[in-house]
Amino acid sequence: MIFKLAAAAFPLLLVSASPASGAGTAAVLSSGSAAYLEAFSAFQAAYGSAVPYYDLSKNKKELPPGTRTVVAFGGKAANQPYPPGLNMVYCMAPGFFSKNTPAAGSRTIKISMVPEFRLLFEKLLAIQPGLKRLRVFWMVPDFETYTDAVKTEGARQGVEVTVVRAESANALPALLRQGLTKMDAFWIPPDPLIISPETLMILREFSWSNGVPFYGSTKGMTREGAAASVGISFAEMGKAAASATRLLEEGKAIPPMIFPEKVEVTLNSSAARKCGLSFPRALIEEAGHLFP
Amino acid sequence: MRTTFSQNRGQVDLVGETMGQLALLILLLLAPAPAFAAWPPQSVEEEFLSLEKASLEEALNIRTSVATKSAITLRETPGLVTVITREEIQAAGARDLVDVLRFIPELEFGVDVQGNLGLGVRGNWANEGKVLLLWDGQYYNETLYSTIQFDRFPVDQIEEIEVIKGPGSVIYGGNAELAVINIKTRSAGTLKGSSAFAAYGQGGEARARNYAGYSYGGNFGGTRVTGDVFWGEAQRSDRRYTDFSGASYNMNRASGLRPKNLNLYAERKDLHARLILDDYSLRARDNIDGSVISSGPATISFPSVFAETGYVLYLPGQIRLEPKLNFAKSMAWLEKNETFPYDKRTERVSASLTGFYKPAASTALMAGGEYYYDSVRVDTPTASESQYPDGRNKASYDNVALFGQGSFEFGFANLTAGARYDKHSQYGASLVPRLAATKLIGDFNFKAIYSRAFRAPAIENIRLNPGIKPERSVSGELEAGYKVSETLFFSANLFSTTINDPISFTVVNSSETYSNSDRTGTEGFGLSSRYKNGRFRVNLDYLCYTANGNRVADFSVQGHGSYLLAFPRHKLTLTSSLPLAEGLSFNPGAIYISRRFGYVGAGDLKAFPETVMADFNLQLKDRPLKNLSLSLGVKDIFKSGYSYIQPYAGRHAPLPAPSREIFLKAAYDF
Repeated sequence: MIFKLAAAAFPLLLVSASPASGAGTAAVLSSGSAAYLEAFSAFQAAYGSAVPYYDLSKNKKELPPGTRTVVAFGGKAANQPYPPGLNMVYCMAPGFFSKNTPAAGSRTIKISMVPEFRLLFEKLLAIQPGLKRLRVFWMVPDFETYTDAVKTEGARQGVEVTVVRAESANALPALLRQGLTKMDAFWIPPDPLIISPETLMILREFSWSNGVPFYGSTKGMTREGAAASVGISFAEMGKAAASATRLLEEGKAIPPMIFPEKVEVTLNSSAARKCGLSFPRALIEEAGHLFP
Repeated sequence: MRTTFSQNRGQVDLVGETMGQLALLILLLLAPAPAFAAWPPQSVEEEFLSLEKASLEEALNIRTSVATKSAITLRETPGLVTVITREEIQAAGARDLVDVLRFIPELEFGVDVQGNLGLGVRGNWANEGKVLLLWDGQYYNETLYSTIQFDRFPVDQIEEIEVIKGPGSVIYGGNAELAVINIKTRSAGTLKGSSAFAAYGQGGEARARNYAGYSYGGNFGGTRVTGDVFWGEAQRSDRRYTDFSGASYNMNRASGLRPKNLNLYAERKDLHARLILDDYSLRARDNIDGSVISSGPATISFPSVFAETGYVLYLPGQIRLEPKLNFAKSMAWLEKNETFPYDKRTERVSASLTGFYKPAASTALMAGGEYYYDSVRVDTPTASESQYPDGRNKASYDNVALFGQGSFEFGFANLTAGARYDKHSQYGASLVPRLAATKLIGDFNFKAIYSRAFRAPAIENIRLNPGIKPERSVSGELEAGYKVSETLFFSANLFSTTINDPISFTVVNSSETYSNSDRTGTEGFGLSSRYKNGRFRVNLDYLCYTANGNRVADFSVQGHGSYLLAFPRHKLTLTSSLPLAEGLSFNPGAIYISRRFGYVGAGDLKAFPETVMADFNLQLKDRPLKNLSLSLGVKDIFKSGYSYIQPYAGRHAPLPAPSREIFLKAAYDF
């Protein structure tokens, strides 16, 4: 853990020492926890110049004069009231979707923690070629933003996608049971409301007991029993935020939501075996982590 | 002098061993406590998701609750089921398991003997071997008479209670003829550290109870462990008991209930192990025949040890095998004083293997086998009438069972068909099938269940009547439900149960015995409504039964053929939770019981008038400290004067329930 933090902080120190400074850009972190620091560190390294940052758990947010773009790391940072007219790029906020209408001449860009659906389905079909019916369970109200996109891409790749919203984590067992004979697999997006040790245990038990593959979106979900996860690493989100910030500064066209190009695949051999799956060699070689 | 030594020896052996083990295990449990702080904290990802969840809850002004841990397995077969969550138990301020179960209208308590309570199910007396209670998977029915001691369980350590209000023999065997109560305590995942609680209850005349417990759950590098310790002291009532002859005694300070137990569990990957040491005892002056013991209260103990290990084996082709090995040792109804010396040590060793196979998305199969070996040894102080007549001081029996079940999804309905075959070394074979159909049509759901079930005679039933046969029942159940909205749900059910050859307790020539009677049973209907909107919750449940051709004189109410002794024909229950402010809720509950009949003297049948018992509990959560929960409740607000009636003509007078009680509890998770 200490090594990881040091590694994350190292580029930060290098960039801080560099004479070039990202004038007009400031970063706001929800807290100084390792995940936000890891993403911010990757952001700094990719951005190439020092950016002042504020840890909301310690400091008041006082943006330096002349700030034109705020890069927010985490939902709390993204949900702060910023002066109108600022650009905002926010990442590491899987459940937060900004509703603010940007003032004229400014933009708000979300870096998605959900992978691009084309890549998601390609990976899932590589693992489970017979996948025809996929259920997606979620709780965050604004996840509806993704609903059409995931269904459309699924249909394009021959997978019928049913999106099911759980009103609460308590409803999950019943929803799983109702879907038992109506799905070949299920996918849990990076939804902070639905992911907890208890729900992961329920999902794992259901998956393993019934042989229905559970696909997740983070390494931790794979470690806790998902057959595989296709997700975005914290560092990749930081890099994507840096790229988006540069494009904004250059005045280039940019969509309101950016899907990082590189996805991280993690695999769990024993979970896959319990669901009657085996991983193709190419996927194992590509995987960032393979749990035995 | 020798007699005295012998009388004590039995208890010293098991309780001494048990308490020695208990002390050792407590030490083992507590020993690594200082190291807890040094455990690895949650991972970077867990911390990140937790922070994001907290900021989302703040942003959306919502609070998500912990998921229930309903097991999603094929054993969760179609049936009429009530699930009670930890949240509901805590909100109601339940003091013990009786407080929880009495709000299920299908269940009602009656008195058996010596201060013990038993359950009635849909109007049928179900005390001995007709209701199975599983506590973390352990069969808590003692093996001498198959009774359950409902006052021994720490409700504050429960995560969820699942009550199957109908037959369960096809899966669970000969103790599940009328119902199954499956209780799970909190797991390492839900505890995530330590939890401690303490409670105090003040009755009308004296202290009614005080108890305390501690639980720990954690993850040591992939090994999940939990440990629960509980100690309690209560009294059945502070009112007066009067026997058939008019003799009476004040139960205050003479009806103590003393539960204490230790429950340890470890799980790594697919392997798990559990050990429970349980030492429950009670004091009572109501004797087996209901008469007041003139020499003061007798102490009756039920020390028990349970051990289990199991494994889940995943095979290619969607096959899962679950082998399990269990050991239970107990000295139920242990009584070493001169009133009714009884000292019998039982052991049960059981092994089971259950296989699950899912050949297609619409088909799920389960099959398995179970073997158990029961042994009993009688110690010297046991009263001569309870010893084996031929001079033997021990006996043993075994039972082998095979069971299977398939679930199939068809267009018109989902069908579940199963059967279980048991062969016992003493009383032979039993075969029970079950067929169930369920269907979901939009917001409607339907269930139709046909079951056969049986009650297996227990060790003492066999001793008292070697020719005893299993009693057998046939049940039909129909249920329809309608989800009006996401917050409101209604259901209605019909049931009919016929019990053939019921095993009943009788006294012949001043000696207790068991025999198979003709037949009994009930039929009726139930209604249920559930409303839940955020933190506001109201549950209203109702049951009505009528005796279904009862021909057992000891259960009957002369002149009222539709009644059975002790149990009301109509029961209505209300549980609710009303949020008052952030963290504060008001939780009222009420039970309406219609007229009941019971004996208060030899041949003196009395009609007990309809009664309402009302409670409330104020619950304050996360105030003034986060993770602190405080409860202040009043039980039996209106002093209903409720008594537990004996559901058979066993000469036991009604046993007074606790009087009005002010109840305080504090719990803290850390």
